[in-house]
Amino acid sequence: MSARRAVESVLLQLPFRLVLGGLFCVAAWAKLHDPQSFAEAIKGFRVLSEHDHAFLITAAAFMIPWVEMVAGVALILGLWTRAAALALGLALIGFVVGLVSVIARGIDGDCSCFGDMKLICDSKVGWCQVIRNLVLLLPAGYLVIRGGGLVAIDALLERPARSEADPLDDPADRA
Amino acid sequence: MLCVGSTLSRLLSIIGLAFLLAAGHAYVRVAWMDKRPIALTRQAATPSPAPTPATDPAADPALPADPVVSDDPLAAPVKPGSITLREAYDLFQQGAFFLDARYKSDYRDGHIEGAFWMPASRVTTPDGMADLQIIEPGGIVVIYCTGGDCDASENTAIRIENSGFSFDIRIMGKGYVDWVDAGLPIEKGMP
Repeated sequence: MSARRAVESVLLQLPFRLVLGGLFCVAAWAKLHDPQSFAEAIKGFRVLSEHDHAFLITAAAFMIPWVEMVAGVALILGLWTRAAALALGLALIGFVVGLVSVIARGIDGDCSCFGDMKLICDSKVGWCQVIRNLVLLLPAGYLVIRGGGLVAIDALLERPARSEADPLDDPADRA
Repeated sequence: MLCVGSTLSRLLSIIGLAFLLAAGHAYVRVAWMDKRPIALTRQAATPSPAPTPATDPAADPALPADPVVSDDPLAAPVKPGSITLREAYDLFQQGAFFLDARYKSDYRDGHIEGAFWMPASRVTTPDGMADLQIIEPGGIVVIYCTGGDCDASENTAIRIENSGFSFDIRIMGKGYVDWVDAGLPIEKGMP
């Protein structure tokens, strides 16, 4: 069981954490570097009016990238992995809903998902971004269910507590 | 084993930490960098000028026949604060600067003759600033995007105003698609 867990940690959980966390850190950095562009993208989604809900757009333009950054760093470190993956998963679901809504209404919107950078898709809102986000949901969901694995700060933090509780029990089996 | 309680409380902690960082970020932008945290609307939108008389189609072969002024497709009404296609074309003939706020690929595929490529994100770049410095202070600048309800031109206008330029900015209510449909001058490629 421990060997299986170790293989899973190295082959699945660690790569998923690094890739997903890294992507969101890059995305967050691009948005934090230019919050005005991200606010314009949110405005372009036409969910909130820039006249009536300017404060909400401004708050979202600062909040969303910082959630991505904090959760991305936590995921890379393997700290609070499930919560971080859940935060990013919820963000991805929100992005998918927003993107589909923009496409359905025929709006020529700008995703601004990675700032001016292109990751597989163009900056223009389209199905490519929806599919990309749905693909990213898979590792996020996996990490929510399975946790960060053995190569994570979570594993280090949980080990002493388990050892005290039952020194004969294999902590990996209970992770 | 998934512990829902601790996961949710940690999720709230992540959101709380992000909130504190976001608030600090916005505060630093305002207090130390002396910027508006975010500008979503223009501070001093130029009112739409009074409608100009329709250009005589006989004198201008570039314009389609216009037997009845009220049915002039170039004078189709646009949202308040923006100018009609005919007003834009009159300014084009007077030598006003045109800025294309669309994506680079769209600009490369075709743009209004002589227009600079200027999406909002390019305004504050060295290249964008260099292009804008060509225009005299107070000069008339017409900004356009794809058409319909696109707001890229307004975003570019906001950035230009916030960057300290004092142009007489006009937003073209109709977009590039309408300009092309009217058979008005375009060109292709990057300058």
